Amino acid sequence: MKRVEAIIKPFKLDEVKTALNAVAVQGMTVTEVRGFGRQKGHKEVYRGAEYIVELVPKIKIEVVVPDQAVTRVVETIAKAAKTGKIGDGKIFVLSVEEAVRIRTGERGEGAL
Amino acid sequence: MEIENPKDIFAPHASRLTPYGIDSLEDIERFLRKGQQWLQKAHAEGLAGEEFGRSHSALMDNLIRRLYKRAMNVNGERATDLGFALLAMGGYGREELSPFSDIDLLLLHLPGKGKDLEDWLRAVLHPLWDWGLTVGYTVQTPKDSCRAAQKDLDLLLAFLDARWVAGDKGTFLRWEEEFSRSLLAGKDTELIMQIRQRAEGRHAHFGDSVFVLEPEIKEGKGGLRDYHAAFWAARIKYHIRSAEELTERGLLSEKEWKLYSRALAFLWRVRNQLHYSHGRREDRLAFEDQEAMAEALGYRGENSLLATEAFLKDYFTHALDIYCLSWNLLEKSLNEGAASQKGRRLGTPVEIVPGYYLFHGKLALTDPHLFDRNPLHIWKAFEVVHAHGVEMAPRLKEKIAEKLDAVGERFRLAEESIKSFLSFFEKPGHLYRVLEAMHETGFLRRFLPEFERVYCHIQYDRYHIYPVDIHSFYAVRELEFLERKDEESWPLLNQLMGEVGDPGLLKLAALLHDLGKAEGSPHALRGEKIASAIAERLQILPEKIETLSFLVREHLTFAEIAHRRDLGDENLIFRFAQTVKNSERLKMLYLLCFADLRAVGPSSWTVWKDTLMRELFIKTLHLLEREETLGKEAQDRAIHLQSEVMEILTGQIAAPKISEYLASIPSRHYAAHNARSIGQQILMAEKLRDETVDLEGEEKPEEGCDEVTVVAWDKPGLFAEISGVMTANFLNILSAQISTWEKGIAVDLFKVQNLIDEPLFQPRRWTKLEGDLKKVLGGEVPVNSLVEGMVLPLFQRYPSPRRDTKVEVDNSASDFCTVVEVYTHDRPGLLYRVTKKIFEMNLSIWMARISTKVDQVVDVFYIQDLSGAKLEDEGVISRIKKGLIEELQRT
Repeated sequence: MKRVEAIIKPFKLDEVKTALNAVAVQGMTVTEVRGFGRQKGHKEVYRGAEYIVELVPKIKIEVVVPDQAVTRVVETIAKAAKTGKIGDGKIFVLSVEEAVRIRTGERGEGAL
Repeated sequence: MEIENPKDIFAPHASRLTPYGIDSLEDIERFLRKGQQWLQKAHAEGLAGEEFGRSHSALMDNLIRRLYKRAMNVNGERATDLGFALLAMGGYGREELSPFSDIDLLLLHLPGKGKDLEDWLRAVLHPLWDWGLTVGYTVQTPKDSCRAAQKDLDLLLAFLDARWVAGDKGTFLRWEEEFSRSLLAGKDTELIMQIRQRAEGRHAHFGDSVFVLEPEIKEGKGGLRDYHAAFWAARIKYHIRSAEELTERGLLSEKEWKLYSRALAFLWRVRNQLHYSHGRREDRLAFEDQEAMAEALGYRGENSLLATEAFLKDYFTHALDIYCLSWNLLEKSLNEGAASQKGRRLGTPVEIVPGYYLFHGKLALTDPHLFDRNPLHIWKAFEVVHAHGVEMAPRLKEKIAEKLDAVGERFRLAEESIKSFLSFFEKPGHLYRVLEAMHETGFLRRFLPEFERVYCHIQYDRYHIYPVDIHSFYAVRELEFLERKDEESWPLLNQLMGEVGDPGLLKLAALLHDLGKAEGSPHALRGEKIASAIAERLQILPEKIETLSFLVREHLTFAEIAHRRDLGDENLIFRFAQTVKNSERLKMLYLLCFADLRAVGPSSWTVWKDTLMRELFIKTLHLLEREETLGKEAQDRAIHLQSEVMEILTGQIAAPKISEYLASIPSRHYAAHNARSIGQQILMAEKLRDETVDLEGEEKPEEGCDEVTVVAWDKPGLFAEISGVMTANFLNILSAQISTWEKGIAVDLFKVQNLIDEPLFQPRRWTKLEGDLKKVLGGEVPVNSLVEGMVLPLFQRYPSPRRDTKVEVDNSASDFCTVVEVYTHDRPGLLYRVTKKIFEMNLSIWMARISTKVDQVVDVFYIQDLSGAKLEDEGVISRIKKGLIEELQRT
């Protein structure tokens, strides 16, 4: 099992969600996050007062999927989240040791 | 033992039904179970809440009395020797037992006899535990118990409700006397103060609002505990023993008591249901349970959501009544005591304005008949609240509530009313406090009847915590915080609030922004109508009403764009700027959106959201302020074209009519046409009143084609019908620009290639084209019969080298349409087939750009579904793609 963690532009959430549903991803965790990568923050100026945005608002999507689905899921996210402009985000893949469905006690991929 | 009649279980002396011999434990348990079953069944059949509490307590009384009798027999001792008495305390004492309430007992005995009680306790208490009842108990002598209560307010309050159940009555009476003498006498004010303090702490702990997402039926604001607190206070102060005495002693009016008892019965019934649903004691109305609760309590609606909303509305209405009435009682018990006994020490009345004085920090009337002489005096009370931020004393609130019948049409339209009401928004002061007082007295719903529909109206979802009216007050309060720069500080928003030219109007918009909520969706549009009607009644100037309408109409737009759209898309921001029109309105909209979000709940406003909203604000502001923007140029060009068209048409059509047309033309259209053609199109549109379609043509020899303009009433499939007629008339469409004006008029410009030798503008041919179009659009002739009846050999002269056919769907190019691009090789009738297919798939074409280069066709369609919405569903989009490709490959 792998955990796929994607940091994307906020307005891309719906597209990514729909695309993931289409490749049969059942569930996901979505968090509003702030941070920066190559797209450093920017400055907004109003009447001479500067508002520095060091941490850019992003959406973090996390899904845990069976090993064989990883490639497809990563590609799906990358395609749906892409605008081609800076700040499109990143995708990380991490190994997951165990999963438990709390209600039934099922373990492993059966719990996904 | 047979029990058929509920009287056998619940009558006060049901314990005597087996006069001879003793009941076995099995018999007694059967008695309990039977009683429990009966209660559950009666509840399901709609047993009133207070009735349930009494019956359940009676069942417990009889159960305990049977056990007691049995113990007496087993132990062979006389209880009076020990001074043994069983007392019901707390809710059991008040006879308000819900299905799984705790049964609290106080077991009294004579000094020195404690050790001899063992057997008694085992015989009475152990079976209760064995049968699964939650029984709490204390064993004490009367003196010890009073000493304990001295140190523990909770215990003291539980004792207040105590009553005798079984055992030695003498002990109970001695205890009661000791309790009153040592704990209550001369301490009323002190105790009531403590009770109030306790209540305030409790409220704070549960969100300090009646209106919370998951109300706590017992301990929350407007919960049963508020009633207990009031009742305790009245009990301590006026020595009343039952709630009915509240009216007998004049503490509540008949009307108030009716409200109170109805509200209590409702809450008890909800609590009973909650216990049954969970199979255990549960006093929190959790979000997940609310739908099922509404269903179980018999709420029915068009759908379960509406039923749940109706249930919650009832819940909050009753809870608010309980809170207000309880608090009034509590204050009354406290103040009357203070006034008569220790008035000097606690504060003397201070007259702050003529007719009004402050008493214990609360506003009160010096002359109780002031409002009887002239109901308009009520405004003065609100003015004082506005100026000083004080709360109204309960008596003043009552006085206003009593006078509400006078707040009718005449009162509403009185000059003084309008002036006073608007001054609360215009002048600095405590607007929120005024609104709160208007809400609690019921005044607001009389003065602005539009608030009736949203009174305690809950929108059932996890996001909206407060009812619509309360939420609106909170939104106003957020703006006041910004104005006063207190609370948390939002430097930019604080600054903007200071810059806005008409903060009063903004606050009014905040109050009225959600009034459409009870009318169904889209609530912003419905709310706009309601808000502008109110504004007209308040005689607000038309240009201000326009701004107010704009704010209400667009109050969701700002957050929606900020959080869900690509703020890097200039076109998007440009369009938003066009809607907003100027920086003043932009600032107000941002502030309203901030206040609206903040007022939704404690966690709905985050730095994350703030960052995106600020970005949208600043980008849009820059666009609005930058002189050389596209927007400015486009707007200038449009204005210039409009005056030219006006000149061209003057004398042919009345001027107001021309302006109407000009306003209905989308700005995109101005960018693509010149004044002469727009003028002509308007003239053609004018003719549409009597015709279904009008067309004009022009030769364009320099371009090697002919130009045909078609103006018709828009309808789904229109484009397909026109292109079908063109095809049937041997015209190949090279390019097309179609646009739709606001009034539902479609204006289509075609460049066509003539496929036969006879020129298009020969009268015979032109008349046929015109006739065909009228017949098809008028519904006389189906378009496919024309196309199918064509002479085929003609087409074979037309070269058709194959090119790759490709259909692409771009859903990001526009927020309003799905853009479908078709790449294929040209052939006669192609456009007809594509557009017909689009129509058959239940889509409508909003705009199209058709172009042909040699034989390569690139057709771009901006399409929407029949509701006028962009296509979002991936499944639908791929079906469309597939459908079009199949159609294109058919030959």
